[in-house]
Amino acid sequence: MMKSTLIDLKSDNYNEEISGFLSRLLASGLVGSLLVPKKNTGGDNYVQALIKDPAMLADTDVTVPVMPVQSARIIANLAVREPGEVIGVVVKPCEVRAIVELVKFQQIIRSAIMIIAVDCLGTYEPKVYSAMVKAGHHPAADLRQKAAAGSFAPLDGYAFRSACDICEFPAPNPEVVDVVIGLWGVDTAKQLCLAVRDELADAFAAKDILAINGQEAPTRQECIDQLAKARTANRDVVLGEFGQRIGSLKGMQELLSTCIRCHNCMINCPICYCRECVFRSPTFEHTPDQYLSWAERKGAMRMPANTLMFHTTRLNHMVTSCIGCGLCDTACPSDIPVMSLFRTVGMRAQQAIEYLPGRSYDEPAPVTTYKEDELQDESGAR
Amino acid sequence: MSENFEPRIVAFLCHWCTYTGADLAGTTRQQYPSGIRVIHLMCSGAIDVVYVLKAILEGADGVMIGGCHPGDCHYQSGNFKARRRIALLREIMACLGMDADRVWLRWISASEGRLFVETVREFSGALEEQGANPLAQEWDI
Repeated sequence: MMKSTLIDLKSDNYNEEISGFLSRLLASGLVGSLLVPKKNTGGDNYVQALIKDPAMLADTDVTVPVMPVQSARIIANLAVREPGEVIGVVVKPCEVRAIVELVKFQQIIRSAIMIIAVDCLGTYEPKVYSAMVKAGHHPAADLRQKAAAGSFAPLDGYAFRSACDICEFPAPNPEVVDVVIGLWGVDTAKQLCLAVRDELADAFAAKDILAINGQEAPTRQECIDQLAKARTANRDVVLGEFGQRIGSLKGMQELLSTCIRCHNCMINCPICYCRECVFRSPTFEHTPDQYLSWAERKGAMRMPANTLMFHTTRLNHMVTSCIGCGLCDTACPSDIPVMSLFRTVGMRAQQAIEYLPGRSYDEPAPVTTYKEDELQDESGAR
Repeated sequence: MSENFEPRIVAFLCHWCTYTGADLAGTTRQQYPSGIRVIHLMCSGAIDVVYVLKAILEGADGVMIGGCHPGDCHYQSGNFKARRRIALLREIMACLGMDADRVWLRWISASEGRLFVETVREFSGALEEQGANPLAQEWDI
């Protein structure tokens, strides 16, 4: 369970107040370092920064609507082995869900991180975000203001990443995180809304990190429920149409027509964690005469070979744990809607086995387990 | 479809059961369709679906995975894990408009040479009705 708090801002600067909280957290020793989105040197993007020095919390913004990388991937590098300190990680709801899956795949040690999850206001593609900043806009401030009224809409003339438009999770699941930073239904010009896991709340109070007053933002849950409902409806429409599109060989050929086999979708996928992927190995590097004999049989052969096999294999290997972050879309240089493919297939596969990735640490990942009495007719039993 | 069409089946067979069952079928001189090509695995649970997909996308008419009956796995649970993996594969194939009935998972023990023969005949017959795998002629995949 979580204890919530609603605190009036001392200044008119939301980011400064959050930085203050993070700074006190770092000074307390409860975390040894923090992973936080920080404005980079170029000034037109935010990147995850691993921060040791509290002074470096300047120019951080936990609400920034851009996600150039899936933090779960970074965290898997930081916490696959015991890092020797607790790392506080400031992440978005889809990053939390990826973390949950990677904990189950033993790629992240849960006790090595403190998950500080932020309500997600939607994200722009990094290049779109950069263009907005260069055009003089303040995307985070705009969205925070809209979020206070529960409104989810990009700045006029710009679009969110397509994954965000159909994301059913505008807020993190409090069951799987340590701290929640609430934004929906919160007037961030005036107030700070946080919730902290019970055990931590006592430590936070004891070390003067955060005053916990038990108050909640009155409309936050209502905003979240409405958004989730609207986006779920949108998801069903978008993915329903997409399901028709991919339901044939020709449809898949058209979908993958511009695939350049760069593997970027795989490299950026938080769930594709294998250090030795079959597609990064010589397994399917055949001898010249083998390629020539295939070309002989079919008359011609698309090169490089195995494009459809690459995508269908990736679906098979990880789609049950696909959390729909859409970083594959961001990564694709050919604008193939990889996320829509994975979410469409993923929903059907996940529903078939009643699994929701990122929901809980206790349900084992479907590919690692089985039930004796399930799927009887798979083996031809009548 | 030509009258001489003989489906080509790639079979991944577990060392401890179906592979030995196939061996028994051979040593007892039972006849079964000759279009089957057997790949020897130590366990049905050792199958990576990438190889099933590879076979199907290269144009094999069918892929059969043979494992131990539930409860009999030499490694305790390999066959149960294979069953999930194949069920997922068939679900995904269906989503993508691929013919999931070209992939069969069957439990055949080392003593069931007869069942192996019957299963291969049944699968081959079913594939004859479905016809040749059209992917065999697709250049753009």
